Amino acid sequence: MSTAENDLQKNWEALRSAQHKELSEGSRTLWRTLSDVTSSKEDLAAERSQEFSHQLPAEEDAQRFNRRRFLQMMGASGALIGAAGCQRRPVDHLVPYVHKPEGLTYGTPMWYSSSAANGVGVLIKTREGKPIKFEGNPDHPVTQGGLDAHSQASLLDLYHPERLKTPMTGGAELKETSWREADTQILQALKNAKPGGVRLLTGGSISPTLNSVIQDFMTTYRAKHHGLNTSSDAAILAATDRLSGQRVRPTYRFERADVIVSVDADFLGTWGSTVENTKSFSKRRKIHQGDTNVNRLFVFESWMTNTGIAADHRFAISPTQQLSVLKALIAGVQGSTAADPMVAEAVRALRAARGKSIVVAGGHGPDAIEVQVAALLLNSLLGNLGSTVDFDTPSITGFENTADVADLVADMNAGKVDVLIIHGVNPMYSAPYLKFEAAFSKVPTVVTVTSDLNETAINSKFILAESHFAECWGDSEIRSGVISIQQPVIEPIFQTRSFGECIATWTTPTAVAIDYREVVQNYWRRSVASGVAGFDNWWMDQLKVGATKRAASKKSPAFRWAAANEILNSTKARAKEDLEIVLYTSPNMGDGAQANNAYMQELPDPITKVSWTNFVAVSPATGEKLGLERKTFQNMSESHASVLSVKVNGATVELPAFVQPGIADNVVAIALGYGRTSAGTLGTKVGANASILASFEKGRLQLSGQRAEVKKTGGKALLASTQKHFDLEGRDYDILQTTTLASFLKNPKAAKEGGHAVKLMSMYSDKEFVYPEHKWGMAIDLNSCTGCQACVVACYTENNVSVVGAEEIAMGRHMAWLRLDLYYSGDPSKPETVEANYEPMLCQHCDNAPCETVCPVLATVHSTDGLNAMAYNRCVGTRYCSNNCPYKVRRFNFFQYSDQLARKLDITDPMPMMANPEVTIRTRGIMEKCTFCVQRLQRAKDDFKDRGLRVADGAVKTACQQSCAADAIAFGDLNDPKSEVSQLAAKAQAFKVLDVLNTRPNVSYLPRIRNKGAVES
Amino acid sequence: MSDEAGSAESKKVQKLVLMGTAVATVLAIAGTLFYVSPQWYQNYAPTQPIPFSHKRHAGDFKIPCLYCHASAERAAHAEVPGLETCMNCHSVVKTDSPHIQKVKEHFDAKKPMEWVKVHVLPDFVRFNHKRHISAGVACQTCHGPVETMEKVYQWAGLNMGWCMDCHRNDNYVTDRRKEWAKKEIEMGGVAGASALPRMGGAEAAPLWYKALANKHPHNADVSCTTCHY
Repeated sequence: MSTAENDLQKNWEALRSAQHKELSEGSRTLWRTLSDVTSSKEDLAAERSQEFSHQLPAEEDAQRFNRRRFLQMMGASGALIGAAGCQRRPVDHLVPYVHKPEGLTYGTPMWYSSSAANGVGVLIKTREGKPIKFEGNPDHPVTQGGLDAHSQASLLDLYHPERLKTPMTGGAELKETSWREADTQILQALKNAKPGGVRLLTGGSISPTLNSVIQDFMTTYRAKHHGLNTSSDAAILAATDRLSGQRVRPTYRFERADVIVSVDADFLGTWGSTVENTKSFSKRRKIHQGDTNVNRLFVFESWMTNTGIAADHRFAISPTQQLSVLKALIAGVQGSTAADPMVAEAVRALRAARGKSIVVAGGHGPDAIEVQVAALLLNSLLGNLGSTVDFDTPSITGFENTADVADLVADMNAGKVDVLIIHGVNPMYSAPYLKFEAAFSKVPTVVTVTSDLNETAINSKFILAESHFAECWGDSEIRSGVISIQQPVIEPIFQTRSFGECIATWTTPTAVAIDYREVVQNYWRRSVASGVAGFDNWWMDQLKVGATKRAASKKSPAFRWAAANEILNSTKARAKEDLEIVLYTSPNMGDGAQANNAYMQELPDPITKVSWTNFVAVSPATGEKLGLERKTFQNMSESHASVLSVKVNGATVELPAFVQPGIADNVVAIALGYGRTSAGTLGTKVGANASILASFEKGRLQLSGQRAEVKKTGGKALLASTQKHFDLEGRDYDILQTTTLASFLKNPKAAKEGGHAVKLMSMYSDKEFVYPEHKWGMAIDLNSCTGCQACVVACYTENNVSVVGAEEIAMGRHMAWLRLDLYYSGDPSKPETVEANYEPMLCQHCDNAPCETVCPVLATVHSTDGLNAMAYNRCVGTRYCSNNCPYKVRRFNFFQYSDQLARKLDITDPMPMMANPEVTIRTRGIMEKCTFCVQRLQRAKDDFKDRGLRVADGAVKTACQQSCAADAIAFGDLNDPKSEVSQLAAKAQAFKVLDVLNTRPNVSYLPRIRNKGAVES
Repeated sequence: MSDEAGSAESKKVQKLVLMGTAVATVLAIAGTLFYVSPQWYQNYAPTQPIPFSHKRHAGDFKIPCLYCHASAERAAHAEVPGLETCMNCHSVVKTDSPHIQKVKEHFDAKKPMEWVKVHVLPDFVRFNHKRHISAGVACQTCHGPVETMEKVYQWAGLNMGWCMDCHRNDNYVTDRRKEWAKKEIEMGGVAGASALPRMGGAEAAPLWYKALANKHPHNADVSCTTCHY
């Protein structure tokens, strides 16, 4: 035996014994499911052997699909061949424009800057006039190229077959009507309304033009504007109002903060402007850029959120403790020695970072306003006002000037409201506590402007079809003074109008349909370009860049801190309930408006990885107390989860239970946004509507902290979770590496300690395979990634990835090319010790790709620029490649998924228009996986070749990288030592997943480094 | 029915099934071959909405290919021009022809003409015209003597092996190019040099013409991902 062979043998043995040790002796530190840490080794072994033995549904099909049927099929396809044979090939047509639009080249995308519905700067990619992708606008000063999952997925809303296509009249039966007819009748109703009888009910309107149009409308009809705000901003506005008389939401400058304390504010997931928060927060986590002065995040929360996962210190508290935690922080900052050890470390950090810290609080817990008052007071005591908590350029919520919604309901019941115009909110679904149902019948004319036939719309007299943001003019002001014009890139596909168009039309005396572009232009001509001669130039620049600044409307609220102390002193500490409810906003479903959007339903919940439903989440200890069997819940992907009934204030919700480590004991958490009753084919009756559990007293909405009664119903339900899809096989350190800042500063390779120091050899010499021009690679910074999953949706829309539904996901047939794996560490029975880490997992494009060697038809081979290529037309579907892939990133089309959605909705148009024509749509029986967005690489190479240049670093961005608000993904050419990706891959701390298998991946990861009291100040 | 008769019956059925299966298999194979074989695509010449003659336009009048298919040197797609391009000339030329009147009708009604696609690549193949033209490949290398075609037909097989013939042979492009240049000169220069002065001289020469003059055409990489994604 040669020495080399000897070494190889030794390496293998070392690896095997290390793995065996971790598997058998339970010495593993990372785990994916509870059974990884709690099961006996026999159970674990048994479970592992069952990993891929899903109950194949093919059984049921097999019975129906017998031989007889097969022969019938054969006959039919034979006949088809005969029929097709006559014409020899499908006749395809070329239909060119009669007048080609200026600047358009067939097959070449055109980009337009615009603003998404939530004010995030967006670039819209169009092909032959059809929008096919939304991307973040890097020139937008606030969102800086980031784009959230909702805006990515809203591409589907544009082409959704179940969109409202025409205005309709409601009542006993829905009837289509014309805009002219609707306008005439609505105008009549508006004119006949008694003074004060016209009301508007909207969500947050951040469009300056729309707000001015609404102002005109209100003056014309003496109308009142109410806002339905279910977000946590409501409490912030109420708190600033009580302390200063001004309703203003400050901008939190996370990029300026060394220490951040969050009490139940999921600012990286659902709280405030998340893209903006993620952008500024992650700017201070770039250890790999030489910045060791990274921020430090303390999170006190009940449920587990992305913010909690990003935290350096996470504490699980119950909702009733929120105010006492803040009070303890205040006392600590004011100098008393903190009695509570939980807040001691946070107090120390805050005191060391005066003027450079942020305290945020969120949610609709008990005493929500008092909690915000306490957070404001704390920020003021720390000297953060004016530095990190910015009132000079406040965030715009759109609720600053709206009247309370509870007043509206009272007026409706009193018969004072004749015309109610609703836009952007769905109170019948999202605010059952307001009891709109009864009040609706007392309003003669309810007009709802909406893009789908939601719960509120079906109860309205007029249901007006709303345009998508890519179809109409508008604008947004996400932060005071930061403006983005929303320009349409396509004519409205159906007979739709924007809300602004409706309101502006009804403000004209005869309801003549107006040109909303002129309205927007006139507004800006008046407000920005006054005095500027070249408005047209300003306007064109605006449209090109997509964002501009104007003087911020500076708010300098004069806070009365004495009042704050008074409020806090008079609020008694709450007693802890036996079992407390937490109703949280799901990062995927939000307020439920996108329930019919297949992407958002398919996207797994970031924490539990459950898709297509909500659930009752409890901690392991609470789960056992409630009588859930450990044996069934510990693998965290239950196909038969026990159903729990949760009773709060007399209302009951029944949902399957999910046992989630890390959440506070004696808390039951349920996501809002599910359980729509009128959302369309996909969104209706998915999960249950938990907002019926909310309480509403004295104008205050409370979503968490109430006493809950929980019982097992005895029923079972399907929970499709992807968390347990793959097993770690005891390779903890080789999969994910983490360390603390202190250890990292001592030794940059600290995270690697404990990993297997085995390096396998290759049979081939390094010189055997050369990559002459490019060698594409990626680097992912786990320290920046917040788990928002915008990248996942970006990948779906860019690459025409199919949606498969809950049943298929439960069988391990999820099609996502990019997934966010979640690995836990700590003791699951002690929530405060549980830490979780995200790891985005995609095809690693290995140099020694295991998939390539087993493909019998050479459908997956290596390209000369280092890509692991997948030639769909060669694939015969043996799935050997997927079996041999250690990363489990290959996805198989068990069915013709690409048609399935269309088939379910039974309408084929206009959905196909959404597909990216630059990526092949895969058929049944084909393997697929991440391609590093090869279509973008080819286009970039093509463009640079024209100029005789190599593709410049940063010129090509993959879809996931582009949408990442945290800038966690770098992509480029590994052949170029100066490229960003090469530099990151060369860092001492960079690691490659399962490097011990000698696959030589081209994706490098930078370890998660927790800032745990490392830097002494 | 006796057992014997029963078994005879079942034997008969067996025979029938066997024969049926054999016939079905043969039919399926034949059908597949007939349907997918590239040789059946070659010479495909569908009838177009109007009998547009490439011989007349490109051959007799020597209108450069890129006058109508302008995007071929700028983009992956070689466009089929909109009717506005036809009307550049035909608003005055041959307005009495019923075919031209049909064109005008469509043009006035803003109704596009639905041309039948002759050259069809499968959906999983990406072909870039620009790259080929800027490398100096003449249109005719792949499309054949279009300037002689009264009715356009598919001249080449356009199957993968046919692509590889060029891409695995470094001199293939240049050889082919020379061959066509010779033919062009014989034919009076279709897209070649003699057409250039009329189109504004060498300045307006197509990119491929310049590329050919400047450098040896670079032969592209034949990784799967070059064309399949």
